[in-house]
Amino acid sequence: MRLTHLAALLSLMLPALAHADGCAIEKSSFGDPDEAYILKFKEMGTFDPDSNVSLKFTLLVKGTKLALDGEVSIPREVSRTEGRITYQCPKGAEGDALAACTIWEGTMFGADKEGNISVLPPEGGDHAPQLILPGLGRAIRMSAIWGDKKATVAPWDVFAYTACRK
Amino acid sequence: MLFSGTFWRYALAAMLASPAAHAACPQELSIYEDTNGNSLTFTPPQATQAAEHEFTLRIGTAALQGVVMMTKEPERPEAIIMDSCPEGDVTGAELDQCTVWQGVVYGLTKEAKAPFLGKRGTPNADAILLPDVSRLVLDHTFKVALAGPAKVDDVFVMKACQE
Repeated sequence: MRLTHLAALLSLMLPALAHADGCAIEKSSFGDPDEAYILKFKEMGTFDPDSNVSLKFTLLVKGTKLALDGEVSIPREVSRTEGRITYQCPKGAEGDALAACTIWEGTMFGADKEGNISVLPPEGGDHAPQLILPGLGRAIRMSAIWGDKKATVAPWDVFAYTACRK
Repeated sequence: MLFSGTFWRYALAAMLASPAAHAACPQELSIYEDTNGNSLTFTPPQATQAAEHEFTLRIGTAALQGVVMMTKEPERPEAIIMDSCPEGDVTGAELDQCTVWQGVVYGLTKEAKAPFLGKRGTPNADAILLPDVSRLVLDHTFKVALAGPAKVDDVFVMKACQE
């Protein structure tokens, strides 16, 4: 059994312990210091045992209709969480097609209030106070979503927890 | 765990309240260490150089050269870690081969503020995050042969000040 699934299973078995005084990560929202973006995790609904995807989110650019798709995955046998943010990818895009519609990709970290970093828990786990998306600001600045009437703020690469969806 | 999280929060608050105990170190004189005993030592760059910071990353017997530049739009501390790059005119392929890691460096602080590695003269970050360096060192062929696979963390914690 993969680590992802074990962690998901454990968090299902221990719901009270997993978020006794917090918010399940799939219900949490995060924002950048300039308040130009909202990063909103969403419930995946289905559980695909063959997938490494541990979380899904939407990145909204405030003041525009831009909504980017985000995905977190746990690579096989590695204690790391990888993030990918895409914009208008064709369904099932892979290889060059996926690269063409990818806005940002990289290792995604959680950070607590004391500055300790962690991997992101899968659905059901408690949210981290902060998310680090290394290089996100530069990636958005260089991407197709940058420009007049589109994204105009290169966000800081660290987002802070803002709200819980009940 | 010997002490609870609350204990450390109070201990930290007490340290912050007493200026003598919380003597900040200039970023460029700070020394960090990971849990495997690898060290990251900042050294002030020569005044003539464009670099914001320079540092040495010691992994086992290897000593790698790090340079941090502040880049614009958006402003970011971008670092490159090199393994004895050739002097003078270097081709792209040669540079690729001697580059161990490249990316934005994050300075983590014990306050809830968003981390940002400070410029020369600013107080030290409590820890340094080099995203993914733990994985990328495994892909690198070191010029000085290591005893085994390089065991490196992504996070280096403040250890000492060279003042």
